[in-house]
Amino acid sequence: MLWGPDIVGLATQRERMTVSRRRILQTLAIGAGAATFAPVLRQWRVRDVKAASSPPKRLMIFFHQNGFRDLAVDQLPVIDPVNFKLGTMSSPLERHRQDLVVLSTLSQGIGTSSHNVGYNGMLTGQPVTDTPRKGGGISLDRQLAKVVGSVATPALPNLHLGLATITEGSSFDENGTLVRPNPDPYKAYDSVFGSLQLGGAPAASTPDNRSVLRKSVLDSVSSDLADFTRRLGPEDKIRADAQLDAIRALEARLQANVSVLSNGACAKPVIPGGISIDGDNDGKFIPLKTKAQLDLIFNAFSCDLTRIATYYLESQNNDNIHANFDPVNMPDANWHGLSHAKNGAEYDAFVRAQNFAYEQAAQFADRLKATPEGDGSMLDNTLMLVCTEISIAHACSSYVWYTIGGKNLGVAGGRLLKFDGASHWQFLTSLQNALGVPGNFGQASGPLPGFLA
Amino acid sequence: MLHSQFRSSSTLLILGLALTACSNAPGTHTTRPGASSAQQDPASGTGASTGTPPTGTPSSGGAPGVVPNVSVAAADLAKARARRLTAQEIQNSVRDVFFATEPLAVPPLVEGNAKGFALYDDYAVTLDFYTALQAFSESVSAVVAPRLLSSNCGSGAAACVGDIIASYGLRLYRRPVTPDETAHLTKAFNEASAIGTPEQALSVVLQALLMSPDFLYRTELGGPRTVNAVVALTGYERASALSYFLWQSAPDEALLAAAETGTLNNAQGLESELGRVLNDARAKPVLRNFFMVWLGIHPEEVSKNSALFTPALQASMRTGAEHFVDELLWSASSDIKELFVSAVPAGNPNERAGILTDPSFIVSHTPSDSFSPIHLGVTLRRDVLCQELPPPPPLVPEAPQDPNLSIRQKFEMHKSNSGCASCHELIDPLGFPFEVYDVLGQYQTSDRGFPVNGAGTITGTDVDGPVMGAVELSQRLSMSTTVKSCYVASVLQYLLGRSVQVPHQRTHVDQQTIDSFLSGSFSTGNMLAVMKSAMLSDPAYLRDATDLPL
Repeated sequence: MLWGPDIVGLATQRERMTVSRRRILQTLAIGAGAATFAPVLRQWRVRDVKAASSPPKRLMIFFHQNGFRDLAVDQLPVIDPVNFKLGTMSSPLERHRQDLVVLSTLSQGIGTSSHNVGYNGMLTGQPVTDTPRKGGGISLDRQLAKVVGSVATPALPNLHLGLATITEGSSFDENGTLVRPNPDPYKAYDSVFGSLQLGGAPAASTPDNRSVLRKSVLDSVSSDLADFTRRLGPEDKIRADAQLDAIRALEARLQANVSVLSNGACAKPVIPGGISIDGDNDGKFIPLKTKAQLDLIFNAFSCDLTRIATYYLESQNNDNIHANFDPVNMPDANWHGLSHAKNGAEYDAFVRAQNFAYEQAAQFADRLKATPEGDGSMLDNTLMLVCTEISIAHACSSYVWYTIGGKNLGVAGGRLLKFDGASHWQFLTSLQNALGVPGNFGQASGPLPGFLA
Repeated sequence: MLHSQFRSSSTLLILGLALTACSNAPGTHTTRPGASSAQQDPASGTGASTGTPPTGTPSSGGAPGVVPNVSVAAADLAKARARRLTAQEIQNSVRDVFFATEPLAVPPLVEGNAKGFALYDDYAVTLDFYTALQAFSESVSAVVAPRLLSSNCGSGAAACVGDIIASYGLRLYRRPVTPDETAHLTKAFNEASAIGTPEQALSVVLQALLMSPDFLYRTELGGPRTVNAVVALTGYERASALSYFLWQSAPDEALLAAAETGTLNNAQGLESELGRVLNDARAKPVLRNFFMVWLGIHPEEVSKNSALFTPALQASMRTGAEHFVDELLWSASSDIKELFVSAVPAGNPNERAGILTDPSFIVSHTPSDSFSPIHLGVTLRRDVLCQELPPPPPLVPEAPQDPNLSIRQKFEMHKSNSGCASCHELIDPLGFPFEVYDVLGQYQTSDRGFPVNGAGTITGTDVDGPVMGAVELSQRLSMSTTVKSCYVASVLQYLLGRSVQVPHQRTHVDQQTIDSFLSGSFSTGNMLAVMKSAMLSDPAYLRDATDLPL
């Protein structure tokens, strides 16, 4: 059955019931002519997209925890639409000034502020509570993975990496259940680049029937899953859909062979050995692990293996981030604890820790900027969001977030936008729109005025 | 009692009679008739069921489904759900099904998850997880397929694949494989046979079993429903509930046989199998782990800024705590009081008594460098008393940096700030009794030059009042019904994989079960008896099927 958005309204109730919300969204997102038979649809789309000449549009969400120091005036940007000045903590972003948008002051618009509320609501467009690890429905990154990623890059709808096997986070599925990032750069390498053949030519004709055998396994599992899903209640149906997505991604990987590269930078990253997977418990691994993981995202972008990525620069239980920065004088620092320091060595240490975070974001943007793509650079085609869960006065109503790049997604840089508590749901809507997905995200009433051209 | 008499009928007529009998039965709550208390007398069921024949359809799990003989309202129960196995449960299942006589020598399946009870909403089949599972399944199959081929398939793979699907499918899906599922697996085998070796073809079947949702998800969807849309877990679902609760692993052949014959549908049969499963050596580490997770004891996973805190010390702390729990749980009285007052290996009874004073607990709940009452206070309030803490206020002032203040003086400032006081008066007074230990759990009488005395206060319980030191705190908590109630709630949460500790997230039947335990099977404080009773209680077996497709 073929049906596009224009005839959705004509479908019978029964037909509508057989198509999950996710499928409908996919259909809506990619326009008319889409089939409800996802595998066919997606394979067709892969070729279609890869063959397109315009560079891909990407979203990179870079998160760092603990936000701003309470009431630290010297960390707030000097408010001026053009001649704004960054605080010392976020000064590494200064070198991207022409591609930078400072967003001050976005609000979750709710009464309670806490780290949990910040995590739960940062990327979800619905009201949240203080309950740990419970989002307000699906987060923007997961939503875009479904409606953009699963079509454009079905083998890897999104890449979700983080420093730690964290206890909190901001990526949630439709149930509001936390989706944890992959903390293991080696496993991420295997799943993203392991079977990738670069250089345009297929691999030598070695007799390897593994792909065919795997396809038989996945076919059997898909058939079981269809039967299984029919027995479930609504919450579990959504969970079962996640497995279907995973099956489709594994199927797509079987055919993964990058012969059309989005730009000349496509290469497999080199991940140095010896990084402790539980490395956030040992501060000395933090810079190495962060670099390895950001390399994975950069290379996945440059090979167009994925277009939606999230990185969580977050330390397990909020501890230990600092051990690397000042192991002599500050061996026992706790990132969150430092964030409440008013002055003195702990305050300085917190600024250094946050400086480190912004520096990583800036370096990622450096690489995008330095890589030609289309008529400009990868940064023009990549919108980076640099965000944190808690902000001035330990509140979720005063976020100062940043975007870098995204010129070809409609974002002009070199600006400070002051919103005085505008809903960040509107900002999430603007991000969604920038990625080509129309309509509001979550319960937003519209896009954020002035953000997109 | 009534609800354990699962009847073998699925006809409305007999169901109607059953409901009539139920509502007239003595001892039944008139307003909530389903919430009777078989857990107090699990052997009292009639065992009338002989089991209806297996339908062989997935909708009943292939098990003898029976209409529960209860008239409880569906809204008073948890929804019928499917629960994804944890990575540990997957590995244990594979070990028990395929590696009973040899070590499971494949790279482990690792999944990072939050510490704490495995709650089903925390576990999904993400792409990362599924990629890891694919690798795990391929590793397992590469070892098992050649072995099966040589030991089970004298006449070749094609001749034995049917038996392998039926027998290993039964073990892994924990119910008979349906004809449709057999067809899917056979198709995969045939496709693989056409291009690969017999080992590869069998391997494909094994991988498909291990990656199937029917292996990954433990369904608790129940069988036929009552007029109130209540279902009881099928026999096969009960077999899984028993084995994953007590073994974190798949049911063995005896449990599956008991499911097939309908034995698990009556109280005696269920209790008999429960006793057998509990006495199996696999139950001991699993129940021990309950206590470690409940109390957050994980000294091997924390770091301290001290050269004294070596891996060897961390391991010995863990072992000491495990030994302590084992001794108490499996003792004749299995008394929860002893958990809080028994001598611990680490020391002098004036300085320590009970698990809360053991270094393993203290190091797990103190920061890396200096004592803080917060983590300990929160753990006691939330996990030992099962009380909710209000959310933190929007403005959290900074901790005072003055080196001339003792830690107690710094935290006392919470009292003077109304924004802090609302939470911290519930937290700090429960944590301060632990100031007599340093961050390594060593007893101390002064901290950084400031004398400490462990003065604290218990509030919000049935044992309220001031205490001096963690030993007195523990003694007081050992007498508390609030603590006992929280223990029952925590056991139920461990069993059910959903939030029961938090009072407002309990179902009505959860709460009735907790209350009935306190006056019934748990009145003597026997912790092991609670484990058994939980497994026989309404929350374990009854579900709300309102949202399930008919």
